[in-house]
Amino acid sequence: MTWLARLRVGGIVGVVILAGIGSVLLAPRGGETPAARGADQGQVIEALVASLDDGPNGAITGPWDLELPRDYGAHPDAPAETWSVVAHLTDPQGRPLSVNLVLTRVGRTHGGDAEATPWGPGPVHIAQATINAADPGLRASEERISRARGAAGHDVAAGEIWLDDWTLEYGTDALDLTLRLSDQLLRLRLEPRKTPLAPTGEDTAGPRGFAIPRLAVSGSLETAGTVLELGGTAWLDRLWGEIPLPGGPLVRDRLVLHLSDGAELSLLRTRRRDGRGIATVDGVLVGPDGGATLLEDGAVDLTSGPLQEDSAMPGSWRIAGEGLDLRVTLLGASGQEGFALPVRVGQLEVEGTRQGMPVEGAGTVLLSGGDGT
Amino acid sequence: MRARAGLLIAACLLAAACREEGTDYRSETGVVPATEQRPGDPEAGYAALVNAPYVSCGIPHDAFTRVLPETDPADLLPGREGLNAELPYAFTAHENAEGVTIVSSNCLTCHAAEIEGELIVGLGNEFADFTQDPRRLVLQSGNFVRGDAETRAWERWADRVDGIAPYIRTATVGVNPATNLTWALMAHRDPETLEWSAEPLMEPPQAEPLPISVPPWWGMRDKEAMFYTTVGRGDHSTFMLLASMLCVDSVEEFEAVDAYADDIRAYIASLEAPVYPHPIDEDRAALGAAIYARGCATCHGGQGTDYPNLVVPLDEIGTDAAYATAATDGSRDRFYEWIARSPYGDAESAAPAPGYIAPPLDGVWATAPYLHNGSVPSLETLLSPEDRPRYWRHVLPRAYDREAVGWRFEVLDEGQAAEPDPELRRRIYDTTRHGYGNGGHVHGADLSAEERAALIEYLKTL
Repeated sequence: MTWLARLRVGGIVGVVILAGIGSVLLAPRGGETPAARGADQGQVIEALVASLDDGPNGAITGPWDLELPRDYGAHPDAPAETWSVVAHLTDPQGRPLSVNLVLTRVGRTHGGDAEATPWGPGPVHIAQATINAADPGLRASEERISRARGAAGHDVAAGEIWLDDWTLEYGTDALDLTLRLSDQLLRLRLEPRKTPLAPTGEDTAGPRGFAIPRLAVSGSLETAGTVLELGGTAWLDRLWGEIPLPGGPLVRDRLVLHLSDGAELSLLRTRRRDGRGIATVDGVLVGPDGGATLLEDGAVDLTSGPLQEDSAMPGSWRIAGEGLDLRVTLLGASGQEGFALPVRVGQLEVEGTRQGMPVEGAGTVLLSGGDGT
Repeated sequence: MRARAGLLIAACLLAAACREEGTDYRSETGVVPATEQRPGDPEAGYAALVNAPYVSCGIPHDAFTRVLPETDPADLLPGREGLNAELPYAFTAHENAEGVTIVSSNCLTCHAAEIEGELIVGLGNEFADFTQDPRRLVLQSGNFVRGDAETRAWERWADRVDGIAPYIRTATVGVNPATNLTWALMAHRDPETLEWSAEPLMEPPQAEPLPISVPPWWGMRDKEAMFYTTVGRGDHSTFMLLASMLCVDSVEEFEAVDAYADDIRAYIASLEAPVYPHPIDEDRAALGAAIYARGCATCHGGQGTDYPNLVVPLDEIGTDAAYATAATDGSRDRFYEWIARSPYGDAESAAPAPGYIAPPLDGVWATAPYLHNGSVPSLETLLSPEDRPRYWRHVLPRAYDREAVGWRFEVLDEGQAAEPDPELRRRIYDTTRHGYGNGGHVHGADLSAEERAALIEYLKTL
């Protein structure tokens, strides 16, 4: 393979595997100085970057094939990794509620002397969770950061990834997510309903990972003594290796849609933070049978509606191409500018057609650094 | 938009006002007169070619290694220093003024290629892919850029790529858009200060580049003009620095590169054509030599004839006229004027003739596909005009065809318009496209099969 082709493959793998995993991880730092954002946030960012300075040996190489449940679990040999869940749920009254979780580990666990002290250099774990709903009392968002050994990590024997009391347990048949945000306790069981999307058998040094575009979700949200039963669908992303780093000159908008005919769509729009140059839109369209179509730049048109002042993101989007004609409307948004890695998360509803047949659906938009217009 | 139009008009008026009296930026067909070249040190020239930062903007090294973490040992070149020793031959690293290590494309991106297991510096790269939008690669690399200094370096490179990207996408993998790329860069630079402008200062070239095949460097030893229509007369050393124009933002930077340009030119002129690596039928080649002397040497030189530097008129050679016509119909004159006003040349540097120069044929066995636009895949099809494929594509992985002398190819029934898959479409050489025609140069049509085979055998010896 020529160097030019490898450049392309490396770039495509990063986009195609998950079509935009971990928008939180990708969020640029913006123009603020660390002092302006608060010393803690600036130090976190600097720590993240420093942790990734593994030099040319940061890449993991060799053949790889997806194996579950193993690959739900951590890959501590990789310089960074991330777990991402986007869930589109409804309560018994049919009211929509969406959940977004991104858990990221940056930096390896260094051996030797560093292991002798809990304050030695170790990986940073960052998790961000958001609940969006029409009821303001149900909305919540929180960021947790841990560098202390034991406060976050991966238990292979138990099949569990955790940060404080946020946990993601995995097994052969399902994953169980537990999040406590302020006075709310969210428990979700996620059962895969489609074959994972993953490259296989490639001897490449690019990022590795997989996506499960549709998982059936059941669970509950406990708040103020009441229990709200929830059900719906979710999209899971896993990525590890030399993945895009925090900061930098790009901003990204990611849309994840679950359609009523059983299809899913993930789109990633990437452009320069300074506004110059072009925007690219890549993604993947998954049919009801699980067959995936890679959407290279230009395959679909993604246009944004006017910016909404209250949500600071567009109020609508239009997606056309590849048999899709979808109108996407923003139901509500959560701003997370106070986070060390700012991102805005919006709850979406979808209507339109796919292959000429009417569809509707639910979705999530994650804006990392830009306003999505 | 109105302000931009006004700027364009003002720039055009300024260019017209500065146009030298009596200059028409044209040459006659026929023999290109000789020009003495600046002397240089070939050894120092090679060192500069593979190590010096004549293209001074690119991808920050940390991002580069994350996009391309491994180097194929076959892509390493001797004589490279420091970090360059670890990079593929087509890339050069240097540290910029802010301490950021930058990796840039160098001349060998287009002027080095592998054939029969050997990497040949000076052989045109006939497999490079310019069909994609390079801004996409720019964004991919941006995923791994960190910190303010790296971001500034990346943005500088990204801005230049943004400037040229609309003008360098070819229809087919393998052909080269270098001419259009150069015109596009000129449109964004002041010819006297070389300062970059985000908005074009004059009308850019047409969006779709006319395709060219990259000529081998070893021909520079004999050629008095560098390019097919004899643009590139006079001082070759300075003129070839147009290749570094992507990032040279001042006359001072230009002069810094020009200081060793004569050495690079001397190295290029010292190159010998690669020797055909397979057995040759000497008896048959001897028969072919006589045919060559009778029918080819007048234009191409050899067989006791000095290389004549002969430009053959379009109506005589009959090959695709688009490239030479565009060079001489007035639509490029603003770029020739730019050159005349710039430190890269003078009023004689870019003075094309309405025809194509017959190239020297040293190492012609290695330089397929043939004609100025790379439209004919082998010597066999070149010398059998009736057999030239209308639609064809390279067989991949690439394989050299010793019999036909060229890269193995597949004849197709239909052209690009009939192929819905863009990945397959861009692999098709469609000779019905504008500028991609494979007609003309019918020499060989009247040879017998035996004579043609003898001539091909002889051409292997050059």
